Amino acid sequence: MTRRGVPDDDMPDSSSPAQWGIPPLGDGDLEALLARDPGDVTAPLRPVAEVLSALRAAPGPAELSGEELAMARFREATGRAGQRRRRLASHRARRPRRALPGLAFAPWVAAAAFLIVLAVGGVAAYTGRLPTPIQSLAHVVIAAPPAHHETRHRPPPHRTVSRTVHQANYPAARTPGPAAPGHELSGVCHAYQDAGWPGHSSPDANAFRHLIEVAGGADHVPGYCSAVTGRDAWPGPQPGPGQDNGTADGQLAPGQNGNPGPPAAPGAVGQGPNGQVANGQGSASQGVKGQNSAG
Amino acid sequence: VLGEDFAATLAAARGGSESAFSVLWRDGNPALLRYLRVIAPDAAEDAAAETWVQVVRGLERFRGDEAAWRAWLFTTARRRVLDQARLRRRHPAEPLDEIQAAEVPSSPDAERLAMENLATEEAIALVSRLPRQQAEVILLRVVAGLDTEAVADLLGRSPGAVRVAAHRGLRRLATLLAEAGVTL
Repeated sequence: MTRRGVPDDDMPDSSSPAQWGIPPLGDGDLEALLARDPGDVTAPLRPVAEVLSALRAAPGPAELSGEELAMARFREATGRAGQRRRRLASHRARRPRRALPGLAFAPWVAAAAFLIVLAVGGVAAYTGRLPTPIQSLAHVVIAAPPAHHETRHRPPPHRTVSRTVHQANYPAARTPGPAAPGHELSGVCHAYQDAGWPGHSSPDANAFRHLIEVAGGADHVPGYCSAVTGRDAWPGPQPGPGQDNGTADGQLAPGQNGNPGPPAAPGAVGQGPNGQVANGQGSASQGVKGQNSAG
Repeated sequence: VLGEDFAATLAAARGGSESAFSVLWRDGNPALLRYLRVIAPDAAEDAAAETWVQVVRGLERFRGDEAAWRAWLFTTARRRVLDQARLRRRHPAEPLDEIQAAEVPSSPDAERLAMENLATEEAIALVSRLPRQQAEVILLRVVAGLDTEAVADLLGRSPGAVRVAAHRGLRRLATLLAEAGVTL
C-alpha cells in the first residue's frame, strides 16, 4: 500500500519495460496474447507467450492424482441421489394406483361412448335403418318401427311409364319402388287417404295433381297409395283435384301433409303411418307389400 | 476444454455416469490446481478437493454451457479459498516451527510434479510473483479460459478494471522475464 492509500495492484509498473529494452506493449497486443498461440505474437512478447503456453500445458500425473477421491465423492452423491429416487419410487409403489394412468378417465370415456352408441342406435332404430333382427328387437323393446324384409321381397326396379299410357292393371302400371316417386308422394297419399281430395285453392292441389300423374290416373290413386302407405284405400276418394269432395281447404292436419317431421316419440312410432313413411325403406317395403297384396 | 462433447458429457455425468464425470474432472482439475497454487499456495490441494465436493453436490442443478461450467467451477474454488482464509483468521494455526518434524506434511506429489512438469511449475512460480489481482486475472483468462466479462463477474469488478489488470500483469511478466535475461 502506498502512502496515498492506493493499492499496489493499481499503481503503475515500477519498472518500465523500456528500461530493459522491451518496446512499449499496446493493449491490442496484450489482449491478443491472452488468446493466441505463441507463434502468432511478435518477438518481444514471445517470452511472455511461452509462459502463458506453459500455464496451458497438458496436465501432469500429479495434477490427476486426486481423481479417486473425487470419484468417491461422486459415487456417494449419486448413491444418495439413487437412494432418494428409490425411496420415491417405493413410496409411489406403496400408493394404490391404477394399472394405467390413462384409465383414470375410463369411466367417463365409457359413459360418453355408451351415450353416443345409444343415441346413434336410437336414431337408427327409429328410422328403421338397423339390420332386421336388431330392428325387430328395437321394435319390441323401444317401440321402434318394425323390421322389414327387404332382402326377401326386393321390389323390381321402378319403371317409368309415359303419363299418357293408361293401364288397366294399376299395380303393374304404377308401383312405387324404393326410389320411386311414390316414396316422395307417401305424405300426399296419407293425406289423400285421410281426408280425400283438397279443394282447388289448397296449396296441396299441385301435389295431388302430381300424385295423379304419377299413379297413372285418378282411378289408380287409391291402389297406388295403398301400395305406398300399406293402408287400405280411403273408403270414398273423390275423382280428383278440382272436384270438391266436401273437404275444406287446409283440412289436412300437420303431419298428414307428407312432411315426415322429426322422429316421433317412441310411444307414437308404429301407431300410425307417419313414422313409417319417415324413411324411404319403410315406405318402399310397404309399397312392395301393397304390390304383392294387389297382385 | 471439451468443446462439442461437453453437453453430452455433462448430461451423462448428471445421470450418474462415473466415466463422464471423470472426463469433466480430468479436464477441469489441472487448471483448477494451477489457479489455486497461485491464489492459495498453502491449501491448493484441499481447496481443489473441497471444490469438487461442492460441484458434485450441485451437479444435478447446474444448467449452462462449458463457459458457464468453468465459471461455476472457478467461482466455487475461489469461494472455498475465501472461506478457508476467513476460518484461518478466526482460528490462527500454530506456528510451523512448533510442529514436530515428523508431523510436517510431506508431499510426494509436489516433488513429482516439479520433475514432470517443470515448465508449468516455473510459469506458475513466475506468475505468483505478480500482484495478487493481476496474477488472478491472468490465470482466469489463460488457465480457466474465461473471457473478460466472466472474469469481471467472478471477481466483482468491472470489465475495464479486469482488462487493465491483465495488461499490467502481462507487462510486468515481460519485465520480469527481461530482468531474468529470458529471450526467445
